[in-house]
Amino acid sequence: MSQLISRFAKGLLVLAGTLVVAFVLVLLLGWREHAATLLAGSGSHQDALRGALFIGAHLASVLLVPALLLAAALHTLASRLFGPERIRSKALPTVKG
Amino acid sequence: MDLLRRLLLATTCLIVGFALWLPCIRLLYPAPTRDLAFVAEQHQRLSRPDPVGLSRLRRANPEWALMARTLAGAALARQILRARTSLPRAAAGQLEARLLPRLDALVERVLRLERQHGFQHFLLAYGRRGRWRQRPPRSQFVDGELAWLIGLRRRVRDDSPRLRRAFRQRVQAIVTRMKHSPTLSAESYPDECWTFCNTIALAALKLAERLDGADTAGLPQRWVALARRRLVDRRTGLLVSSYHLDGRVRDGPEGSSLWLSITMLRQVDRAFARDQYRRARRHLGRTVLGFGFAREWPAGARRARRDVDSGQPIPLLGASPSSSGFALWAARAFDDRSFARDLARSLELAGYPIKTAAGRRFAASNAVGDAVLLLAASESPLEES
Repeated sequence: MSQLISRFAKGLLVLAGTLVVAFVLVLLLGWREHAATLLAGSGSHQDALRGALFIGAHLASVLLVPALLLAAALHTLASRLFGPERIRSKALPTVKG
Repeated sequence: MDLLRRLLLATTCLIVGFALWLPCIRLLYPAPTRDLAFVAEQHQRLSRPDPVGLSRLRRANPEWALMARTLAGAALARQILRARTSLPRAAAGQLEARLLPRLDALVERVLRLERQHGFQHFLLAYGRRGRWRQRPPRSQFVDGELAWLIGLRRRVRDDSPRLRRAFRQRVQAIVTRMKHSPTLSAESYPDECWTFCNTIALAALKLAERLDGADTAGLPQRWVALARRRLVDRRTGLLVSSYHLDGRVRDGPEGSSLWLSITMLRQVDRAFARDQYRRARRHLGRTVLGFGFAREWPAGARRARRDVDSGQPIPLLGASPSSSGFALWAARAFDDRSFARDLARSLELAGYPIKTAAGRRFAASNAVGDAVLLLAASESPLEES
């Protein structure tokens, strides 16, 4: 399985997963309610920070995660078609002994 | 060479990934079409005499304690009036029976607060300290909004001699102060006139002409004529947002004031208002990847400074939540359907809608924002676009 995905693509998948986990976490913590604090400029600094983290995590999940997944898929495909890994894998013997 | 090739491949994949994804995001956030349902859900939250979270909001800005109620009351009045022409008579009557007591409760609450604490209850702290140029001190912010709200209530049903009297007294005070001002404008704060407040006052004067045949000394038309000469920004042609009583400009055009002012001026001079809308659309309105927003200041504006009205503009884009909210109302009022749809889509993305037992609300909004959205929804329906 690990050979199916390029190293760069794995990095992208880890980054995408981290962003999703961060978003789910701030969502579960109920920090969505603090979005108004940040945007309206009212409330405590702590609430504004929570609002900023929620908005950042949400926008990152919406804007970045699908694009990272697409890039990972494209990179894996391109590596297998044109990359050195394909050349190396061709050179390897397919039969033991 | 191999490293360069790998870097090139990785970069290309990232660029292609983003290029494929970003134009598709809009598909996840279709503009809401269930307008009336949205409005009905918001009634429960907004039409309380003390909207949710208002005491906290008042600590940040006492003006919002008046604005949230005035704008919510205006939205209720507009819906009753709109229902009379768009719904069967029985349905319109039922809606009126439901909404009118809520409108009355809002009117009574603001009048009582003003009676108990004085007009300065609704002003920022410096409204108590500075030297008012016009005597006796009054705030056009409070007078204009209250006159407009009571006037709209009377347009729905003119059945209260007490409200009639209160409206006429306030209109008289507005006319007297504007007539004797070198800029045909009254102070909202000591030696501070705001276009926002004065255009709401003008809308109230137009209501007075309509309801009572009041003599407003031609102030609405005279104000627009003066504004064309002295209260527009030279570079953009947009109305400035605040000025001294003698006409010296304090703040240039600001989205959080301008969109509402333009919407109010529809009642006074439709051609001027439409011209201002077109300019605001050009200098403040933006659409990126199908998502609309409005800037607080025109690009390259000097003296742009963040304040409690502008809120926190979003970095890089310069998008202002308050300017964008008022822009949605203006876009619908001026029948700019594509911009209204783009703004509504942004609301779905960045407003963080929450469905609760009490209805749907936006986590990123507050009582003032909710009232502005309700007013926007009271204009021409999005589903026609």
